[in-house]
Amino acid sequence: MADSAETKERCKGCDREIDICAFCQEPGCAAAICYGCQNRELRQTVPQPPHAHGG
Amino acid sequence: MSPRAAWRLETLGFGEVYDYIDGKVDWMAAGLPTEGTNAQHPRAGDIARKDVPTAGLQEKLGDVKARVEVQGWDAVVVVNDRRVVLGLLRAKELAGDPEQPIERAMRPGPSTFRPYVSLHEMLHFMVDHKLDSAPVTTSDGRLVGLLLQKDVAAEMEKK
Repeated sequence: MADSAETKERCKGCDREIDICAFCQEPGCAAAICYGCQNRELRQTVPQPPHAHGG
Repeated sequence: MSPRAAWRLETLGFGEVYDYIDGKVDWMAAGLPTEGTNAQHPRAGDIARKDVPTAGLQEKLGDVKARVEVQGWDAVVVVNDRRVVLGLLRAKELAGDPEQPIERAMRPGPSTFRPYVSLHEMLHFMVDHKLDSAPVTTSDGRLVGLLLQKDVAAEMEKK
């Protein structure tokens, strides 16, 4: 029986299984990273804790 | 700023004060100017090449390739009529069948990066991932420019 297991990447940040690296979108990326970890590392999204001011 | 801060500024005599509802990050993502210590550091949007060639979905790959090669580019950003990024053609895609439309040749939905991302972090990522270029867009997907790894490295060397 043929081995049909797909080779998936794992995020270097959170170790979650991902289809493809969110940064370079190249299969087999040695530094594969998921979208969430990428955005956190690049600070593309800023976590929004409860605001201290009354806004 | 918050509505309260805006009102407070008005009491201090500022005539035109607005509450930017989408927040500071969205302001920076649009490539708009900021003030303060961090504003002195160049960011992705500052050095992204604004003259990167663009193409539409219906153009023929061969036509686009011929057009950009004479300009010395090996990357093309595919955009719609509002300059929203739909795809990317790197050297590998540009080498495809010249008769096919861009829509079929392009790498769809490429990763894009916001203009305020620090050059230090982008360089680190681009080197790790062996990526020569990365498109920079606003938060609503409009093209700002193409960030080249060699430009980032040169800018970092100035420091």
